[in-house]
Amino acid sequence: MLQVNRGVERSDEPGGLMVAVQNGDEDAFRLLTRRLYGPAIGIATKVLGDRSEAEDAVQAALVKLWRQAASFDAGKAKVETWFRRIVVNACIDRKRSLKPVQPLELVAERASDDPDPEALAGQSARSRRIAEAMAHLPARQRTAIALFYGEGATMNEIAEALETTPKAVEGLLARARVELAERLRPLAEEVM
Amino acid sequence: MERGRVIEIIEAYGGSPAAWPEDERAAAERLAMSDSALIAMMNDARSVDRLLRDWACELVPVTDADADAAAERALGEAYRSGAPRRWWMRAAFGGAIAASLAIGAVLLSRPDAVPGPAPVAQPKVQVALGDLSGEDAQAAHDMLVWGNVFTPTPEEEMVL
Repeated sequence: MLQVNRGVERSDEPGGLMVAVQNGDEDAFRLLTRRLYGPAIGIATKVLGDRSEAEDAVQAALVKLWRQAASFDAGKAKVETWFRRIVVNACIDRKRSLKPVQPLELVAERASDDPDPEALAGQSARSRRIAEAMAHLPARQRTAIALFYGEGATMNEIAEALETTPKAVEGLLARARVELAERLRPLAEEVM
Repeated sequence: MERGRVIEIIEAYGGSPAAWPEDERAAAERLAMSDSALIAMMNDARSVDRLLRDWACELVPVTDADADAAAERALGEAYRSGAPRRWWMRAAFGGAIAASLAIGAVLLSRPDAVPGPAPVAQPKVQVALGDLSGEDAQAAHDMLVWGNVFTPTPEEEMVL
């Protein structure tokens, strides 16, 4: 779909919006933010374990997107991939500046018409235990897990987001899984 | 394929062959299925996979209003700390610096920029302004003394 803004046609696809952003189009930036914000908050919340911290990190990433728009090269990466890398970096920077381990708030919110409150309570307790176990992992391991299981990202994509090699990502995932398997053993036995 | 590599794959990618690297999947699966210890390892890994998938796929609710508010805050913050850096802005910035230096050099090197009758009472730079008068002299004085042709942001100061 094309929109006309100040006499210039632009596509509503992220790539087209990004071109407009590179030309200083604030409306395009707002539309692009709508596209990118949800997934970005999802990843940031997983990495940081706290919604408000995640909002701050994504905010910093959006400022960077606007200010460094000129450095985006559509030939090298999709806007979503490029922005994901900015978000991940913002999260890891933020994590470094935070206390090493913080108690995690449960971030999941269920629809109010959830049919089974008992199941919901059980699910929430399980989510909390997983979140607590995840809180012990370094930010890069959490990021790798969030991208691999949450986004279905490949090793190459995760490596790009973390600015490392696919082999190193395998190592991150393996160490994370060993640590989590130990911490989540009782839960894992329940779901077997 | 070595057995050790299959173990590495299970440890990194989990217990589901569908998640394993495409180019190694068939060989790794063949080897894993012929080894009871590896089958047990895959089963254990699958239960951890399920927990991790639940965690990673948990929805974090976001509305368009959240996104709109974030966009406004980001634009505000970006403008407070400096406008977007596009190539023509960089060029203009460089041009402004060059022009400032050139003006300063010309003013300071003018042969008729001789001190007036009371040179001691005036600042050194004011003396160099020669026959500029009124607002021109004041502006040039400000530029040379305070460098306030523009106010650089912290990032611009790094460039300087």
